[in-house]
Parts: sequence; C-alpha cells; structure tokens
Amino acid sequence: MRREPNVSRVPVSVRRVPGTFYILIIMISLASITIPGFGTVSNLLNILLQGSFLAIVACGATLAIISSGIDLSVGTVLSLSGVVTGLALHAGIPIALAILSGVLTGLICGIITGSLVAFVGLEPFIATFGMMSMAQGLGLVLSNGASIPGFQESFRWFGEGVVWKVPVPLIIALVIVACIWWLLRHTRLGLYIYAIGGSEEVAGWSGIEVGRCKLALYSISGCLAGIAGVLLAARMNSGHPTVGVGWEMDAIASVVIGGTPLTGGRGGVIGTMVGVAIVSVLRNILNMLRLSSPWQITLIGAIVVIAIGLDILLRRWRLALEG
Amino acid sequence: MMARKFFVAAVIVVSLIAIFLSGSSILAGKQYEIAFIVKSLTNPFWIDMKAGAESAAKDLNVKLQTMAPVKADNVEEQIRMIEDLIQRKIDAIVLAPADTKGIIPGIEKANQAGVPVVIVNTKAAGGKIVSFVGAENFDAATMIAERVVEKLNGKGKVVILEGVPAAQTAIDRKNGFLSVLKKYSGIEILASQTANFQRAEGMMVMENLLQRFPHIDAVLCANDEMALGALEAIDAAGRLKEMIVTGFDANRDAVVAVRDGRLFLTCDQNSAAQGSEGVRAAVRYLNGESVPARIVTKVILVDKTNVDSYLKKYGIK
Amino acid sequence: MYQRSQQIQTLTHNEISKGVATEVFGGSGSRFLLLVGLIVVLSFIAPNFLSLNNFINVFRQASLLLIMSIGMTLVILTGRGGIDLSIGSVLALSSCMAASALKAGLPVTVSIIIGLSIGALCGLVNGALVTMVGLPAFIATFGMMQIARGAVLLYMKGAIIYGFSPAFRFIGAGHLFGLPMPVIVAGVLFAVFTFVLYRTPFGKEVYAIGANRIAAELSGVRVNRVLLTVYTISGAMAACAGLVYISRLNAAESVIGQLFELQAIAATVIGGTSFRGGEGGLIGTIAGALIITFLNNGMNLLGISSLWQLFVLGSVIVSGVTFDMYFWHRSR
Repeated sequence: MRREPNVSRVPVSVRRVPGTFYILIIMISLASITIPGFGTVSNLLNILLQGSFLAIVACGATLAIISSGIDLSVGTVLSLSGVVTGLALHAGIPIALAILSGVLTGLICGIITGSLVAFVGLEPFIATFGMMSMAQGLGLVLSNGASIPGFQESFRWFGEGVVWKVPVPLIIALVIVACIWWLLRHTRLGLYIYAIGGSEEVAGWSGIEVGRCKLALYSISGCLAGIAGVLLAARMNSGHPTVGVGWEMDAIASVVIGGTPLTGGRGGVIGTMVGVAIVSVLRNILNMLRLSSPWQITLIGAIVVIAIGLDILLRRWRLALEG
Repeated sequence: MMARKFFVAAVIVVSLIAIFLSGSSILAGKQYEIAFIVKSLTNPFWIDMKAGAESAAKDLNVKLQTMAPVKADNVEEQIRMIEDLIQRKIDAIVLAPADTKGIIPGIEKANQAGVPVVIVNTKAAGGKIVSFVGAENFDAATMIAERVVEKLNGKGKVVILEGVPAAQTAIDRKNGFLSVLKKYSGIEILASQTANFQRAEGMMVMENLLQRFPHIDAVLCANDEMALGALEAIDAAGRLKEMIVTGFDANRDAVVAVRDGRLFLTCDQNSAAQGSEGVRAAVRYLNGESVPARIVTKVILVDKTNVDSYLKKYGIK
Repeated sequence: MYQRSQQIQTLTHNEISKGVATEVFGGSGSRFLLLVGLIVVLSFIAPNFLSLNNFINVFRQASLLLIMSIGMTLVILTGRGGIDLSIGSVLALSSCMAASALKAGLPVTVSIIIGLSIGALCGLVNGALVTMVGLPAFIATFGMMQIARGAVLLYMKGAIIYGFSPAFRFIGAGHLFGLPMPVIVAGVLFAVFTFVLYRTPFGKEVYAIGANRIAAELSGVRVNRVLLTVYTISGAMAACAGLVYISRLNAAESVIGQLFELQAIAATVIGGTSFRGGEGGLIGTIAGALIITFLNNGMNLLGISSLWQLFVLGSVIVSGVTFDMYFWHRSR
C-alpha cells in the first residue's frame, strides 16, 4: 500500500518581502529625482514591458531553485522556441498553432531535462547544461544561423499590443506570476517542491513522489521559457537563434536577489519579482545614463553584491541586537 | 528594524549618487545629445569607430555617448537601449545594428517617437532611416575572396574561419567569401568552422584543422583576431610557407603581420570614417540640411604594397 | 595540530576512504571508461585522429581546462552551493595585468608573480565575501565575474597586448623533454593538488566540510579558513591558466576567458564531483576535462558544421553521463 504523503505544513519562509525590496524603492526614488524622463508613466510602462519577459523566465527558475535544483537551459530554450514559432509562421501555419508549437517546444525541452533529473538521476546542473547546448545548437541548425524575420500584425500583437495602455506581455507575465504564486502557496505540488528543496530524503520518506514532482517543475520551467520565447519573437518581429544568450544568469540572479537561496527549500515568486524589478530598473537607469558597456558590466556586479551583502549583514546585526 | 532601513538607505544613496554624478554631467548645456550604439566595445574595430565618432562629435560640439550591449552582438539589448533612450528624449541615434532584420522594431519605435536614426556599418532591413553610412561586409568579403582566388590561380584547398554563429557580421562575411569561392570549380572548400571572432579560438580550431588536413592552400578568416590566432597555430606547426592567411578589419597587429609577410592581406573598412560620417549625417539632419540616403565609405585591401601607410597610421616604425 | 587532524580522521575516516575508493573504482572509473569509449569511437570515424601529434595537440588544449578545473573541483567539493563563476573574468584580468607588466619592461618572474597574486587576491575576496559576509558563493562569484570583467575592459580599452619575450613565451609555447610546456605545467599542478587533496589534513578537511559542514566544525575544522584557502587557490589557478594561455597565444586581450567557468564546471561535474559536496575529486576531473577536449577536437576533425557543434556537444555529454549512471547503478 502506498503511504499518503504526510506533509501538512511546510516551513515556508516567513519573510514575504525580501530586504532587497527597500533597495528597489530607494533606487526608483533616487532615479526619478535625478534623471529626467525616468519617473514618467511611459518609462514605467517601458520598464515593465522590458521586465515581463525576464519575469516569465524567472518564475520557472524560481521553481527549480526552490527544489534546490537549477535550470541553465531557459535562455537557449527561449531562443529555440522563438525560432520554431518563426518557422511555423513562415510555413503558413495558423497563428494559434504556431504559438502552440513554440510553447510545446519549450515544454518538450522541459520534459526531457525533467526526466533526466528525475528518473535518470543526473545532477540538474548537467542535465540543464546539456539541454542548454542542445537547444542552442538546434536553434542554430533550424534557423540556419540567421534570424527569421517578418510576421503578420496579428501575431505581433502578443509582443507589441496594448490593452487599456497596458502592454500585452505584461498582462501575460502577471497572469503567469499569479499562477506560479498560487501553485507554490496553495497546491500540493507547491508544498512538495518546498519539501524536496528542504530535504529530498525526508521528502521521499514522507511519501512524496520526488521524481514526478521534479519532472513537473522542470516541465513548467521549460514551458514558461517557451512562452517567453514566443512573446519575445513577437516583440522583436523575428525569431533569433541567439537572442536568449545569458538569460539564465539574469534569471538565476533575479531569483537569488529576491531572497530564494540556491540551497532551496525557502523563498518564493514574490521575492523573485523584486529581483526582476531590480535587474530591469538597473538596466534602464544605466541605459538612461548612457554608460558604456564596461561600466554597466562592473556596476551590475557591484550592486548585486552590495545589495545582497548588506541585506545579510544587517539581518545578522539585527539578530545580534535582539540577542 | 528602523535603524536597518536607514542604514540600507544611507549606503545605497551614497553609492547611487556616485553613479549618477558620473552620468549627470549630461544635464548641463543645450547641445544636441546623440547616442552611438555599436555591437560591442571589446574589439579594436569598434574602438576605432568610437574614436572616429567622438572626434566628429567634438568638431561639431555635440554630446555623444557610445554604448554597446553588455552581451556582444545582442540585438534584443540594442532594442532595449533604443527604448530607454527614447524615454530620455535623445535628439538622434547613430546605430550599428547587431541584426539586419531583428533591429527593425527598435527603429520603428524611434520613428514613432520622432527620433532620427542613422545606420552605420550594417544595413537595417526596415524602418525609416536618415542614411546608411558604411561599406557592406558582404562586398568587402567578396573583394578578399577574389584576391585569394587570383593568388591561387583559381585552384586550391581553402579553409574558412567563421565568426560568432548567427551574428550579422559573421553571416555577411561568410556569405561574401562563399559567393566568390563557389564560382570556381578548382577551389575546394575543405572546412568552414567557427572560431567566434576570437584569437584563442582561432588558434585552437586551426590546430585541429591542421591535424585533419595534410595540405591547405588558403585560410580565409572573418576577422583579424581569428587570423592572428590561426597564424600562431600554423607557425607552431611550421607550415606557414604552405598556405596564405587573410584577415579582416586591418587592426594594429594584423598590419604588423602583413608587414612581416605572415598575413597575406587584411581589409580596411575604415571604421573610424564610418563612425565620424555617421555622427556628421545625424547632425546635418538635425540642422535641417539634406543628407544623402547612402554614404559610402571606401574599402581598401591592405597587403605588402600599401602596408606602409597603415604602419604610419598606427605609429609603428 | 596533530590532535585536530587526528579527530577529523576518526570522524570522517569512513566517509573519506569511501569517497576515494568510490572515486577510483566506481564513479570516475566509469568516467574513464566513457573517455576510452569516446576515443575508440573517434578513432574509427574521425580521420587523422589516432596519431601521436593529435594526442599531444589534445593534451595541450586540455591542459588549460584542467588547470582551471583543479580550483573548481576544490570549490565544488566544499558543498553547500560552493561554485566559482568568476574564473573566466579573473583569468582575463590577471593575465592582462601580467601582460602589461611585461610590456612595461618588468622581468618575467615579477610579471608572473603579479599575475598570480592578482588572481589569488580576487579569489581571496570571493572567499571573504562567502565566509565573512555570508554571501552565497553564486552571488559573490557572480559579482566578481562582472567586476573583474568590467575592470579589465576598462583597463585595456579594447586594446590588445601583442608579442612577448621568448622567455615568457616558453611557458606556453615551449617544449621540455618533448612535451609541450602547458601539459607539463598542468601535470605538475595536478600531481601537487592530487597529493594535497587525498594525502594531507587540508584535503581531508575539504572533504569533511563538503560531507557535513556542521560536524566538521564541531570536530575542530576551521571551516572559514579552509574555504578562504580554497577560493584563493581557485583564483590563483585561474591566473595560472591565464598566464599559460596568453603566453601560448602571444597576445593578451580583455575578452579572453568568456564562458570558461561553464567549461570548468562541466569538466568537474562530468568527472563525477557532485554539487552536494564531499563526493568526487580531482581524478575524475581529469577525465572530465579530456572528454570535453576530445569532443571538440573530434568535431573539428570530422568537419561538423559549426551550427551542429553545440548540439552534438550537449547531447554527447547528456547521453554519456546518462549511460554512465546506468552502468554505475547496475554494477553497484
């Protein structure tokens, strides 16, 4: 007889908002005082639009990291599904099916990495590293190493359109974030993901089917990368085989800035959104100041270290004060 | 809790003010503000172009800021830059697109916001632009390939080292080589492999290819960096006499290699002129003058016969 | 000192002896089978693969990866998310600084010392951020990756330093006893660190920390000091690889070393060292580094289109390790 999972309450982190949230607030208020054109509604929408793609990808990365895994493949899977969607559209396939093919591409990649992690027992790093190379290679082969441009207006709406002045990708991102939040907080799967991240062995002993949960979460992550890829192709009016290079790092950095530790078991998607916001606002500020790329590279590193370092030091300091 | 917030605030305020001070000098004065977006700032080719653009900006008394994607050759980042600069109400953008077709949405956004765009170096396939300044990579690559075929008397075994897969420059240069080489039946293309525009990879790939092929007549490289790496590998294998190697971009080291007879030729697209002409075109447009839709900069093949002027340019004796 | 190491020995004796035994006879043993399999397959399908020259060529290319992977293996062995993402950037920064020291006319030895100390310093900062501030290693080394890269880009301004003295070029391009110098450098470093890892108290402490940090701390291991040392070694190894690299290339530029961290991590993990910490070791890493290099070499020899190469690399790594897992699981 199969034992029923005996997990009633998972010790989810109590801090709903990570300390880095205050840093975000300060960044925004300072920038709106000092940079003309920053604190406008149109720039706010601009940042939100730019951040929505990363937000979607980072949701998947959050799931993987909470389970104390990692997903390095999101960036290249995103590129691949953009290429697949582009090819489908050029082949004259109806828009709905073309979008579906892009999302399915992501899902299939996710299922493959998920099975490698869950059933073969590969380290998530190796499985997703392999998928990262494979998806990149496949994207290059399918596109023949060039971008696939020029889609019909109705498809471009998904990347460019607005509903009551709100960009479509932002709406989709918000819906996805809400779904993932609900999944983590209010479903068994969410609970199990935290439990696996806390201790895989204990989770297994208490009857959780660890393998199936892992398969599910990597599939979700792949599927989200697929969605982001389709939307990005619509926004750029082209599927480009290397557009997602480095997105995995941005996604992982956003998750960690948002307070989810790489050791897993804690954190959540709200924190990740703070991380995404910090990364996007920082990029926007650096572009508005028109700093050259070496400075941008340096400052991104410095600010990430300072922000998280301060957060940790101050927490430790407060604990010491409280005895 | 309160103290903690204050402390965070204080430190972040100080660090951010430092950043803003470095950038806020832009606020002063009523000059034209022009942004120059290139594909990367880690290669002598773009550094030269930046220098050319900056000297033109100085002449014309405009504020110029050169930017490049953090991830080299990333068109999505270039689009984000354009969007952010529009919010900043920039006067004009001079742009070297990382992807001919992928950049179109960015140019369209600038069009909507009424920001004029001048394209340099690589064509854009759509959107309204003031002018295209530059020499096509494709055309320059065909010139190189023609010279190689001529040198080989239309017969020989050729290796191509390509740039970063899917980068526009790499695609154009490779296709330029192929368009010529394919025309001659005596030319056999042994391999066409990527070395990602980098010297170290050029050396590694060439080492492997030298193992594979006992005889090679010519190595066509899509930039000087890979050519110089390949030369190191060929030199180490003692096979420099056997083959000719060509570069692309005429950077400093490549010119020296041409002088020493190691590199057969390289190609000067005059990137500095592309930069300065781009900025001049933007300023003329802003002043309401007419600007031709196409400004051609010359392509010069650099070999033993004309290398001296380049040695002088770089101050090498 | 004696007492402390005695304690660790009793505490972790079982784990360590199990670890070493598994590594040699189990885990990485089968990784070597994987390597041999790859070589056999390539020698059948790839032209000119099976020659002494090509093998020396591959070993020379693998030596850089191996040098970097030594530091990476130590870091990953300490567990709890231990990782060093900064090695590619640190490699670029330290080697460019050494190159400009050489160009300024400083003696070769001094320039080498400058390069190595910059690398070690970067590693030390990583270690300090991890141990004293308590940053996750991923964040600390991600920050260092960005800062070191930005610093070297700003310092070099896109320029390239070209043409070194023969004395310096010897490190990367010279030969000793018929072997290329990079192979000798990598071999010596590998031998030294294999001894350190498997035969000294420090090595045992690294394993102990990775296996169970709290237990290690309770039994008297000075965890922070070991971690500081490990990250410093990783930085110094990156610098060392960088010096060999620029010497071989006869040029130093700011963009070298990009994505090297992923390659080093891949070599380490393919070699059987686990992110869980305390499992695996340097013997597997050498197999991992050779597998990756042989794959790249084979693809060049086979003339596989550059578009396909990434796909082949990824699928061979995944299927190889998958096969290995099954092989290993069955034989257990």
